[in-house]
Amino acid sequence: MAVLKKNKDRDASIPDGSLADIAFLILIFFMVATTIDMDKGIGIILPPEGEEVELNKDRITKVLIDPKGKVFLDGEIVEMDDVQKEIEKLLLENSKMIFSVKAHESAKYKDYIAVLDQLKMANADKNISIAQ
Amino acid sequence: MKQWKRKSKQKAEIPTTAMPDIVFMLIFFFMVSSVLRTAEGLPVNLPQAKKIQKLKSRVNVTYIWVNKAGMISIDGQLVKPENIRNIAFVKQKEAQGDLTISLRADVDTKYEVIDRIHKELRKAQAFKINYSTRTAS
Repeated sequence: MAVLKKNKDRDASIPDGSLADIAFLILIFFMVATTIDMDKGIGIILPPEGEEVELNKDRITKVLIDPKGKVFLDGEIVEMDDVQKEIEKLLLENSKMIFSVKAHESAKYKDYIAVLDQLKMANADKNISIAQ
Repeated sequence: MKQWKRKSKQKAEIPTTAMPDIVFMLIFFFMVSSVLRTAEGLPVNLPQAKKIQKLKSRVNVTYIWVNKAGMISIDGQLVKPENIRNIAFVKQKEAQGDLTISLRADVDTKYEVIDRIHKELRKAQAFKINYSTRTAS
């Protein structure tokens, strides 16, 4: 009988001292596993369909990209890293200069993006035109 | 002196009983706010760029995946170039004209394909494009 009585006296409770620790562990896991990776890239607005604006030739600079990744600014070959400088020069002359980017069919996307990047770096955001 | 003694007897403890509740609340917040990756596209090697901007939100963004072979994938499904206009048009309508296309193309994709997509998107009146890139180191 004595054994039974001792059993009755026992306090039967689940230990919850480490509850917070476990909760913290899960919290940290979720904080680490959550990727708040926003998509980043180069934004551009395409021209509406069928809208053609005649422009004075002086206001247009043709930016051509050939299959080998060479860049031509109005017919003159320019190194990829120098594009930004040249664009800046042209913008100084005429801030409303339009840069018409045209790439060869087999030109690589990489080079196209590199040229757009250079244009963006020269702050020519609003002066980019994608030729069709 | 009596008063002073009483003060020192007081236990200065921060109540921690509500701590697990707060932590659980934080857990739920992170669980709900974490977005699991939706439909993946094609394996692509994104180009690098220096002057990049972040997309404002994930709402009304459609991803177009293009690999170097010129295969195009939207929402985890391979599509033909001529079908892009229909898909983009429907999405543009759903987004009430606020659709952003995120183009995730491989570095070696030919411009031909990109140009084709441009044309299709113009037909679908989806003009807002974001060329997805990595940050150049």
